[in-house]
Amino acid sequence: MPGGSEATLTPMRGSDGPVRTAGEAPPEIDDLEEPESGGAGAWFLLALAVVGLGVSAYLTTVHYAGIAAICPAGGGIVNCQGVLSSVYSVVPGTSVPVTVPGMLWFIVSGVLAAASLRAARQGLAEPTWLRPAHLAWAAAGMIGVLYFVFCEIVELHEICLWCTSVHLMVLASLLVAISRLQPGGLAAEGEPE
Amino acid sequence: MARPSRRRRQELTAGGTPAAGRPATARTPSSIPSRYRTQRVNVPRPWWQSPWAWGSAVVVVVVAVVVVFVVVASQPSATSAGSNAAQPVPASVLSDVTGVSSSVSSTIAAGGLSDPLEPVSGSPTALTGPDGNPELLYVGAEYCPYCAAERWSVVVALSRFGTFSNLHVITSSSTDVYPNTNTFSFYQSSYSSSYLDFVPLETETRTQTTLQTPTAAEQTLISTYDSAPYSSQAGGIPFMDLGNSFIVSGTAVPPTDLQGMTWQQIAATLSNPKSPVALAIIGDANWLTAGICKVTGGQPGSVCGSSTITALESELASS
Repeated sequence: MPGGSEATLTPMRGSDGPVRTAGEAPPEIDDLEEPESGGAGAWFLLALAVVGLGVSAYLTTVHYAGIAAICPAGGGIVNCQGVLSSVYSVVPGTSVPVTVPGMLWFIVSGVLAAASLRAARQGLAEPTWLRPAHLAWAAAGMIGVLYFVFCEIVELHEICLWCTSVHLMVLASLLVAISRLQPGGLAAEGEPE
Repeated sequence: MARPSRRRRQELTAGGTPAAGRPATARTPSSIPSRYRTQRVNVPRPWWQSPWAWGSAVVVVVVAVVVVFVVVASQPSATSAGSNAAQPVPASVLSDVTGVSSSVSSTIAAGGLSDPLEPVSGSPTALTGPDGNPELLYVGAEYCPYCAAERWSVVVALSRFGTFSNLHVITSSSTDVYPNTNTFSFYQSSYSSSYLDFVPLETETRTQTTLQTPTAAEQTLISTYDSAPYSSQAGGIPFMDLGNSFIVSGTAVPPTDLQGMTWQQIAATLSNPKSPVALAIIGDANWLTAGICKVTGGQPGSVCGSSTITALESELASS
């Protein structure tokens, strides 16, 4: 944010600090640019979690039903069926599709976002660990995403559009989680009154 | 430390009464002693505190990593170009495929399949392998969906006579018919048996680049037997020559039955004698087993002596 912030609070300590002229209004506590409870960021994270959970659930259903996912016809680099039935489509050493841990990831992300919204709705301050925890969770998810992108591009030479949509949702969650930890980010927008 | 919510701060700023049950711990600005009052000043914020700085950095890193992946993927493989999806067979899959129970096998028997082995006419010299045992020459390709289906039966059958090692899982071509059929590759695999020498040839990769080429002797066998009357399509794959006694051309396992199934799902069906997939794979494997027993002279007895295999042996067409 070029130009800096107008929200830094500086104690008046004799001649060391800036002098406030007479009649100048005292600063309001609300001018503090600290992360707020809830806000657009939390709603966005919740929406991403819901949509991501839906996609993961669909792919899990497709796996166990033994049917092909709805996807553009094969050929070229886009090949959903090739990716979804590859050796990388299941948790190593098991027959559990990787979409199951994917569902769990979105559920946890949604719960964390909902906790933030719940605190805002009740007029309570959200726990200080909540946003760092969400950021750590999103970062862990992003590491997983990079692994799967590696499998698709380097190992399989094919990508799955459903998987890519999930990857983008995890990336978006990470960006929002980062933003919510910084003053002036999405956190301050749309806060419930 | 948690800070007050906006509602709470509004109450405090307005000098209002805090919500019931919440003790007032903050003071309004007017009540703050002057030495603690704060004021608005312009302090340049470091770039790294910008709301989007870290987000932009993450995006840049992610894009850079993906670009690296693309560059790596575009490099030709030093081993098996186009065979890039080859991975070791998951242990659970290997266990299911190499350990089909005798009860399931007996229940399935021929699996409703007709005899897929074509006896060689005349009296050709018996085909023996590098270890002096009867040889099973297999010719296929990694892109081929029919080979993909047939390999399941081949692995089931041969596992009764010996042990595979270094088997890999692959997927057939994504652009051919029955795309992405999951299977194994015999490329760089090895097979040890006291009864049978298995000589596999995977001629092309999944993307139809050359992988292995037959020797002159193998090419002679292909030219001789991978044609009418043994094969409906000259040079077609999969093609198997079992000791110059039987020819198998094509597959008895419909690739369509395997569509959309992972290796684990296919392997898991092999314990269910009512599964159409198991009927085809194990039924075909039983026929192959019967043929192998013919050329090994009924060895080993633990395999060839079973009533199911004996019955199928008696049904094998003779030249």
